[in-house]
Amino acid sequence: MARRRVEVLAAGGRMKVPLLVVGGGPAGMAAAIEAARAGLACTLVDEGPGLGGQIYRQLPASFRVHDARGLGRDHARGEALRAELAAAGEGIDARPGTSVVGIWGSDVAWVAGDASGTITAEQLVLATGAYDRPVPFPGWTLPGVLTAGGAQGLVKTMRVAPGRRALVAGTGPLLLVVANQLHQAGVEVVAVAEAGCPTWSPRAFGKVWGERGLLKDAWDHWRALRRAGIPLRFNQTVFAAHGAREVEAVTCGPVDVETWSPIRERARRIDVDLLVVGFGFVPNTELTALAGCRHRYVHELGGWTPVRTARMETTVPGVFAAGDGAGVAGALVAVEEGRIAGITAAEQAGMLGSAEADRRRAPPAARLRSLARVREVLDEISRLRPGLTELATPETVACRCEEVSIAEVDGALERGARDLQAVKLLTRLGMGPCQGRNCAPSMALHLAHAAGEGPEAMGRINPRPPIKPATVGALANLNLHRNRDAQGRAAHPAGSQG
Amino acid sequence: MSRSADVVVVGGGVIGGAVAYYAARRGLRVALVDQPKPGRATSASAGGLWPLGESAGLGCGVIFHKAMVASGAAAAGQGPGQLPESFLAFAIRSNGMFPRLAEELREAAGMDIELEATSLLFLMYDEGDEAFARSLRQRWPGRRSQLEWLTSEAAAGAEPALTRELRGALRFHGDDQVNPYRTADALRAGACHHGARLLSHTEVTGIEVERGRVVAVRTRSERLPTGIVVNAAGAWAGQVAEMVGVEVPVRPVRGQIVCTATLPPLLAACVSTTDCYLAQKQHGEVIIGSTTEEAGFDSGVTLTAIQTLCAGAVRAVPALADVEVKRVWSGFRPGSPDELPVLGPVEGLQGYLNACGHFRTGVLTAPLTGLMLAEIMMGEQPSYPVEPFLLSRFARVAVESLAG
Amino acid sequence: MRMEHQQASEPMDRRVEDGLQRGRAVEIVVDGLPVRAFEGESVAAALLAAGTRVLRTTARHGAPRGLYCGIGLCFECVMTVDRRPNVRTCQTPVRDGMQVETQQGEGRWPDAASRSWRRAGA
Repeated sequence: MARRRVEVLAAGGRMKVPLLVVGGGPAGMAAAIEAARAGLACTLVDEGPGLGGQIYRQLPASFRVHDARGLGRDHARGEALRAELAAAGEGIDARPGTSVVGIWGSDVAWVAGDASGTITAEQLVLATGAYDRPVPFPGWTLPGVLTAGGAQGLVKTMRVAPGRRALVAGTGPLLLVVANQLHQAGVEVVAVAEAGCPTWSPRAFGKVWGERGLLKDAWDHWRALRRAGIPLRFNQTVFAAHGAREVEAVTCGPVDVETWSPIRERARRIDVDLLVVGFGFVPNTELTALAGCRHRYVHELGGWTPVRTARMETTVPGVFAAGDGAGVAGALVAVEEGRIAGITAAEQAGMLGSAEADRRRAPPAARLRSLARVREVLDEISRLRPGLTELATPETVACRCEEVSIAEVDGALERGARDLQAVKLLTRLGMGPCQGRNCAPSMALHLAHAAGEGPEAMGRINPRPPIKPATVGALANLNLHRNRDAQGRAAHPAGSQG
Repeated sequence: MSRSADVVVVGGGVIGGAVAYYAARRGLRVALVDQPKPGRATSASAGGLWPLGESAGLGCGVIFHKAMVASGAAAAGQGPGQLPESFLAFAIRSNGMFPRLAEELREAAGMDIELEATSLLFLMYDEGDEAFARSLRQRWPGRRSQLEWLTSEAAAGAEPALTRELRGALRFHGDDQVNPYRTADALRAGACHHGARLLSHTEVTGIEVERGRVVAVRTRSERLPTGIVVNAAGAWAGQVAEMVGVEVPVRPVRGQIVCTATLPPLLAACVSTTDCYLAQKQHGEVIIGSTTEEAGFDSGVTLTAIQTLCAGAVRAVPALADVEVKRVWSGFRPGSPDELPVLGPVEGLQGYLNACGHFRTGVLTAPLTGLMLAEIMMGEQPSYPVEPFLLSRFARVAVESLAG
Repeated sequence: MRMEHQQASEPMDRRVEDGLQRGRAVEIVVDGLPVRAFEGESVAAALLAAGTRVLRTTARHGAPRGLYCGIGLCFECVMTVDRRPNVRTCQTPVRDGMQVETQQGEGRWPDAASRSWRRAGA
């Protein structure tokens, strides 16, 4: 249901729109819905084949579900949002299968396979989501080690069991969800290792009471684990994965309660063929960075995040950021942030008066305050502790793409490198196709640990266009306004006498 | 502990690294002060060592010329600007130093600068390109054997990945390539091996002069007493010279570069066309360059440049159409008014030496620049005459034009 | 709710079969051998369903790699698909007759120039 008929932009296409929403997950869909309701036409692009983002990802179009109830709460929430989007009317031009590769002022360049083009947008909502935080440990590159999000996608969307016998390790409520989904898919889950530990207190209960529905969710997941006989072990984590060509076993054990430093002498080995790792998420901030938004490092929100007002405005006028891409807080928060961004964009476009905009923003803002209290409790458990960087050994791969080891990173430090950019030039760390997404967050923590400073002092690996895969041919086909893109005049060196 | 040095080199790019390396090798106590800045040319560059091609106006020159013709700023009949013969000899000499330097750095620093003998191919798409190549060959000041004329069949045989829509190609034997940031890194490490002190992430805040002599360099955190300061600050050289009241006419000239995903071997030679140049590096990436723009210190990239360079690359090597672009970046060439480096002493200020203004050829001319500067510091006759590169040449031009 | 029982003679299938009708059955060719798949599945999912988890080996150390992030960001699952190297198999839907190869390093370039005459070190 609610699968909008979509078309891919024509090759070399060029268009102008009042509002462009990048990212068709919960935040982006909600922003588009509220903008359209206020009468502001908007274009919604997403790289995936359908709308929903990672969390509300749809099954492939060719799959038929006999009983949707079995697909779980997230599926139901996603369908509800897609229905809302469909009901918001023709004001939303949804274009899945379209990847944004860069932003130049109000010009946004996109590719779709071999086609490409630009969209000039008067306002932008960036709702780019997040990805699983990479945490290096020995053996983490072996086939059979999957991120929590990756494992969930396979089970939920592809309906394939990624192994037979699994350990689920990391931190946060997603571990319980994934463990249950794996179990239902027929995977034997030997344990869930949660590095943190809840410190239940009456005060904590008071804080989350307004969101007792969420509390019930967590309770249900926990009960399901118990019914399945899957042990949930607090203050434990994975230390290493072993195997010649694929995962054959893992070592796991307890961590220090305060620092999460591994207590190696109490490690034990378990035979599994699947290791699912989830240490939270990192926001995708490439587009907010390319748009010129100011960022700051907020540990609890996943690292670098755009600075925002309560109305989701970034430091660049006309550019809004919402959802996990602006700070990891989960799908429920993302929806409310998206609504506020969409309402404010409509207000600034003159489609809503300020009183009406305030009235429309009030319910999502109230829900955000309520969800923020839950968040405080969750952070107690899942805020990453510095001992996690001690899992990696000198031989451990730091950069998966370029196969740079921790020892090579440390060698660069000895040669005078003090930040990620310098380490990159000395070692090729972050120079691979993932553009540093899978090494920069962990190596910022590693360098900070070594230097005794904060990770924010380690700089970033600057995002460079194209931030999504684009072929030379697709970029060659860009049809541009020749005279507009003239930030740099051609030079006239005196020596070029011609 | 004494923080004094015989020489303080300002700028840790490939030029500063080379000056520090050759000076340290002579036994001088060297402090190399480096403040990484976005857009520094060494890490942005493609690493082509094209003494012949660059002298003839290939590489970026021919691309820039075509853009100028298209915008009406240059006449179509003429080729791109060619550098004077003195530059060709200077560049060839410096290029010839690379094999030995690579060996030395491998021994001293245990690092590989990825020197490869590639040659450079100029592709002739049309009559104009062919006429340009023919006149280049006729007026070639070097040895005949340095050039090789390839028919379209020969070009296809040598480089199967090239487009078949070619009238031919002109090969420059002796134009090679290195990995530019590896080279700078190895030079710095080599300098340290010979006793140089590297002050990375250190900004120079002032240069002290007493009675017409340099006496110290100040950084944010310390004062470095020294008798000699070398300005190797690349595009920022003008700002460093200003600290001692010297006007060095070096400005940032932006070049944008497109870098592909790592590929299996595709191109044996470096390729120069009127749209772009292409160089496949040892790691497998194809570097597609480059624009020539006045954009101040704006290290951004533009859609126009990306589109133009990508279209040029697909025209030269059609198979690249299906290859993914890994990233696009830009850097600042340190541009001097006559495109030649600014080297050596300045009148009326003892202990100040220029090593800047290398424009497109900093990586190529780094070894000879480093060697000459070290010789000047030692009070010796430099291995190559420094006169064509002195800062005073601009004053003379100014006087002449006034007189004229 | 079940996984098909694995028997020595039958090909492995790790698809979860409850409450779902997959797309049309197709066949892809992986390193020369046929592999069953269903329209809508990604190449990586079809391979995992068949028990194949090593999708490539790396350029520098020849280390095995497989699906990791599953959302197209990590480039660990790249294979050579229809003669094109470096294709992200987690983002690529299967197509009947698709030719998939386990990729070694950067893979092979079908029309590559020979660089044999190119000498390192000048």
